[in-house]
Amino acid sequence: MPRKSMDTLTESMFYVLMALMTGPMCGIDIAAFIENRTKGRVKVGPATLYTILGKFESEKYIRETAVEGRKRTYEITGKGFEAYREELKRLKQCVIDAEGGN
Amino acid sequence: MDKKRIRRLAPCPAYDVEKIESWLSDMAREGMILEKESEIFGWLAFVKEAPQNLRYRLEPKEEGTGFADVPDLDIQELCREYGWEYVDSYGNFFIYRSTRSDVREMNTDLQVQAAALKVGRRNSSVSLFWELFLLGSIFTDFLTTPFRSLAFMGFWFHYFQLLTLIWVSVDSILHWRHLRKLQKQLKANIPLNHSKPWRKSAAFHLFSKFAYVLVIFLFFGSLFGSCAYALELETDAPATADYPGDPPFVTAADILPEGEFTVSPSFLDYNTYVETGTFFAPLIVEWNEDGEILLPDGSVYNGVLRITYYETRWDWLTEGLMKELYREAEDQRHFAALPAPELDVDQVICYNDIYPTILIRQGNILVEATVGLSHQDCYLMEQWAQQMAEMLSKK
Repeated sequence: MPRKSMDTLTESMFYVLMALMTGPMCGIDIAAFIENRTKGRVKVGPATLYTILGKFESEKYIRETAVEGRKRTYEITGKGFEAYREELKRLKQCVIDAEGGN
Repeated sequence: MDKKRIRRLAPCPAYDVEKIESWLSDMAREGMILEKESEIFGWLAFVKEAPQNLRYRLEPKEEGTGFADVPDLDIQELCREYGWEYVDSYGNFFIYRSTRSDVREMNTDLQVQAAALKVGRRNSSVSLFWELFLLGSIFTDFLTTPFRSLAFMGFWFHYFQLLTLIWVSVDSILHWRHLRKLQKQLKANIPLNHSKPWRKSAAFHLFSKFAYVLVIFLFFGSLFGSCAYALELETDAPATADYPGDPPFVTAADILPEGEFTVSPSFLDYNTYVETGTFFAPLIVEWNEDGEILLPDGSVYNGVLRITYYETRWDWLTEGLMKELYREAEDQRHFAALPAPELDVDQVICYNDIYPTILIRQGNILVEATVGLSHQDCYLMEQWAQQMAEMLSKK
C-alpha cells in the first residue's frame, strides 16, 4: 500500500487548514488569520505558505476558487475538512493523554 | 551616469544553497548588488553601489518549472508583501532578497522547507537518469562487440564524450546528495546557515568549472573534427590506384597476371579505399576492388575483392576482433563454414556468406577478405590466402 504523503500535518499546515475552515481566503489573509489566532506565536513565512498551498492543492485538500489580479483565493475541500478533523482529534487526544485522562 | 556592472561566477555549486546565500550577502556588503534577471550560463551580473546589508534566499523551483521560468506572479506578490523581492532564476532555485533586517524569514517551517527541496532532488535524479542512460548507451556496444568497439574507439571525441558524461553524472550525484543532506538537516529541525563560509572551497570550485568548460569545448571541437573527417572519407574516398606505395595486403592485381584483371568503372564507388587509424588500432584499411577477369579461354567474368585490414596494438585485441567478426557472420542467413586452407599463420577461418570470406590473423594483424568471383572462387581465394600468409610471415 503506498505511503500517504500527508500522513503528518505540521503546525503550519494545521493552521492553514484552520484558516480555510472559516471560509475562502487568499494567501496573505491566511497568514494574517494564523498570526491573529495564535496571537503572534505562529508566523508563517511566504515560502512556507506557498509550499503548503501548493502541496494541499495537489493533494486536493484545497482548491482555487477565484483569481483577482495576482491574488488567488482558496477554499477547503471535503478531503481537507476530513484531514483537519482527524488532526484536531489527534491533538485533542494528545492533550487528554498528557493530562492523564481517558 | 551608468552604474559599473561586472559579471561573476559563483564560487560554489548552484545547489549549495547556504554558500550561495552567504556569498551574495557578502557581495552586497562590498557594494556589489545582484542585478535582476541577469544570469547567463551561471554568470551573475552585479552593479556597483553603496555597501548594503541584504539578505538573500534561494527557494527551490516548483514542479514543472524550467530553467528560464520565473515564479508565479501571485507568489512574487505574496513574497513582496512580506518584504522579499524576486531577483533571478538560478539553476533549480529562485533568488529572493530583502533589504529589511526585521523581515520575516521566507521559511518558518523546517519540515515544509525539507519537502520543498524534494522537487530539486527529483530534478537532479531525472538529469542523472539521462546522463547514466547516455553513458550506458556508449558502453552497450562494449557488451556485444567489445573488441571491435575498442578498436574503433580511439578517436579523441570518444574520450571527451566519456569524460563529459562522467563529469556531469558525478555533478548530478553530488547535487542529489547535497540536497538530501539539507533535507535531513531540516527534518532534524536544524535550520540552514545563511552565513556559511564559502571562501575555502572557492578556488577549487572555480578551477573545476573552467576545466569542465574546457572539456566541453574539446568534446565539441573533436566531434566536429571527426564528423568533417568522416564526411570527407565518405564523399571523397580515394581510388585504389592512388594508394601511396604498396598496400600491406594482397590485391586483385597481385593474384592475377597483368592484363587479366581490369578495373571496371562502377557507379557504386568501388575501386576506392578508406584508411583510418585509432589509438588502439593505428591502421585500418577498407579496400574495395571491382573488375573484370579475363580467363585463359577468353571469357570475361566480373569479380570483387573486399579487404579490411586491421593492425592493432595487441595480439589479444586482434584475436578477439576475429572471433567477433566470425560470430557476426555466423548469424547471417547465408552463412556456411568452409574448410580453411593450410597456412603458416596464427589463425585462419573460412566461411561463405554469399561470397567466400577468409579471416587471417598473424600477431596483431588481422585481414578479412571477401573474394567474390563468378568462377573458380575457391582457387582464387586459396591463391590469395597463400600470398597473404607469405606477406604476413615476412613482417
